[in-house]
Amino acid sequence: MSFFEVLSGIFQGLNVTLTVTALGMLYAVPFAFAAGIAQHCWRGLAYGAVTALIEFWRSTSVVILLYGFYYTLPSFGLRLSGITVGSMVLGLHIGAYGSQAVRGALQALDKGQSEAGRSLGLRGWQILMLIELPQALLAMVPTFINQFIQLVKGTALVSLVTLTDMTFRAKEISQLFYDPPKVYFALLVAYFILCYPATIIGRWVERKVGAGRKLDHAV
Amino acid sequence: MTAISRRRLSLLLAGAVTVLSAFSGPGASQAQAQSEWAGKKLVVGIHNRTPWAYRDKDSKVVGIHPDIIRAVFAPLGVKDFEFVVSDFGAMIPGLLAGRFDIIASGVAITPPRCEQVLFSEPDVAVGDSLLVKKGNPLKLHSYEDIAKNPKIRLAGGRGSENTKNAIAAGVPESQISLFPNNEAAVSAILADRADVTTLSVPSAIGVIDEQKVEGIERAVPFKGLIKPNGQPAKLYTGTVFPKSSTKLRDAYNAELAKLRASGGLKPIMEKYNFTADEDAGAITTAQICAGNG
Amino acid sequence: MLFDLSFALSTVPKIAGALWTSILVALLSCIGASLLGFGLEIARRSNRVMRYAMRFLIDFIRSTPLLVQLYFFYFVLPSYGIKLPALAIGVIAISIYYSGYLAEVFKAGIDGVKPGQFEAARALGLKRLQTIILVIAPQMLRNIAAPMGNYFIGIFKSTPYLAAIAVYEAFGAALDISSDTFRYTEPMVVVGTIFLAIALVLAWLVRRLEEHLLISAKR
Repeated sequence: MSFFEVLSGIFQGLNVTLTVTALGMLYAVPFAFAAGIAQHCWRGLAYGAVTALIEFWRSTSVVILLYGFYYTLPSFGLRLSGITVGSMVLGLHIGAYGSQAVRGALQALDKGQSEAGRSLGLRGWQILMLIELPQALLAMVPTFINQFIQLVKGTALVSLVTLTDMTFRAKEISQLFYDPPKVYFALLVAYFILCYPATIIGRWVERKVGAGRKLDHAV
Repeated sequence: MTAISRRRLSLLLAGAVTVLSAFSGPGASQAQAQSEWAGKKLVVGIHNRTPWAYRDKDSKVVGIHPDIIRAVFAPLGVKDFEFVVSDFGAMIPGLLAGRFDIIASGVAITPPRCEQVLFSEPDVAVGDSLLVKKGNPLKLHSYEDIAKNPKIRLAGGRGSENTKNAIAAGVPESQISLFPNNEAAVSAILADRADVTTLSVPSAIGVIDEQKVEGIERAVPFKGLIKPNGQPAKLYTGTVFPKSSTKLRDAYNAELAKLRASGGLKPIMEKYNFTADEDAGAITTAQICAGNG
Repeated sequence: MLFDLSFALSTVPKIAGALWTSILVALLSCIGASLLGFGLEIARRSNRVMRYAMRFLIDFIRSTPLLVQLYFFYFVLPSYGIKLPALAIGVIAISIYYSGYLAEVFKAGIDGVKPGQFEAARALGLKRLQTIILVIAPQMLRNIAAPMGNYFIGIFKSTPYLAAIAVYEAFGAALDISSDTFRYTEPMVVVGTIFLAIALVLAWLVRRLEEHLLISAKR
């Protein structure tokens, strides 16, 4: 098998990789927003609860959670497809990291802004929606690009729970036709093709937006 | 497939079949109307290993067990299979978690496995084989040879019965490391991380002939685990069903017996280089599960 | 049975026993990643060509999943005659992967030291090496301690990946138990809880360290 044949064989797994990434973003972005804003605004018991939730999803080892959910949820009555389990676990894990960037962006805002809003008679949530979020949003864009990259990389893990993504295809090819250098280098190239453009775009956006907070990486 | 959709689908099909049977010939419709699984899709777990069950260059799933289930399920009207590839040790847990409907991939019938799942009647019986570095530098021809030398490292497959045979034959667990699949175990020998691996004879031949891995050979002659009655231990393979699928398993066994009686099993075996004395013979699953394999 | 507590407890000795390997891999990788990351950053500053070369290298490492890099080193190196035990491969792969992130941390850390410091040191007559050790390094360490701590936690949480290359660490032990007994629930809960507990404790320690450094910086 030539290098290009191997690469195209690997790309047969692209739809699973992209599906898990897209669904994962649907978990990651809303969770990052909701949890980050909640941590920024709430106090007391509610703050404790949301922090506990974030800490759980942030501190677990993704691969252990993937195996656990994939093999044991059915016995609890939850028959979720492999893709659902994969995207949910990856999405919530990466979203938990994203929530810290959201919270950081909100905290970095000039307090004078919200004070001015309050003196104008605006209520808490109005201040949030009209003043704080629009300004923080721009700073968060590099973060969400980063989450996309993390997710694409994270999908490699779903190959361990039988999902036929690019990494899985590479292992399949490798089992039929033993040439590790070709196969695994092609796999590296495949992910590089997906992630590098996003890295470049992210860096460009970051330059435009100014110093955005770099998120400590997740997977 | 979930239980709910299966029920809904079979209701729909029962209706369709009743209508259609008015138009189709009496013989065909009788066979299809009898099988409650006719027209349904079965999700089959495999572990991607020649010659048991694997995806070939054209991405078609072939191997002795996919071919057998295709032949056995055809008279029952089941022609649609979705194959899911899993690590060997994760197949039975996957079945228990409802990830597939059956497993058709060289799973040996053993008493511990019988406690968790249902097996069909055995189809073929195979022995163990050792794969070693070319030239067999450590002169390994039996499990005793491995056990005798504490420096020898055995690479086993996670969850495989061959590894358990090695342990039963006296190889201490300290000399064994478990790998998720054969590729990793073979790679370990090539990289000097292990000296020998144990797998079934057909799998070993598959690695050398099909995958054309260089630098590895089968250790011949080989003396495997000998049972208390003096006979060499054989691994009998069968199709695996969850405990809730007794009806499906019984229907499968009936068709398997018919296939064997009509001589249909032999060409499938020969296609994958199984010899006549690797047919399972008259032994039954019940006997093997009781420990008299 | 949904969750067999006695079975779960019986798996603890085996899993906890293999935990030492996880910890060993994590420690060695933290050291390796720090050294490599520092080296990458120093190389990057040396001249213009290196700046682009190292940046590309760092981007490549960060654009591909750790699991794939792990497979690459495990399967490909022997083809070139480099035969290393799987544990060494694991440490090398994790070190290289995280060196890309730590290089960024070092960059931010070095840049964060005020330029005036270098001049002040020269004005005081300090030699270059003395400057680095006595003046720059302590300030740099204060900047980078928290992000580095977070990446170290990430390194620890990555050790389960090594089960894919047959290193006998805690997660691999749990997988062995699972494939032997056909039950994933109990071993996964046990190993998941252990990793979560350790990660949470480490995260708390990093936070304390961060607070302590902030306080001492204000003096």
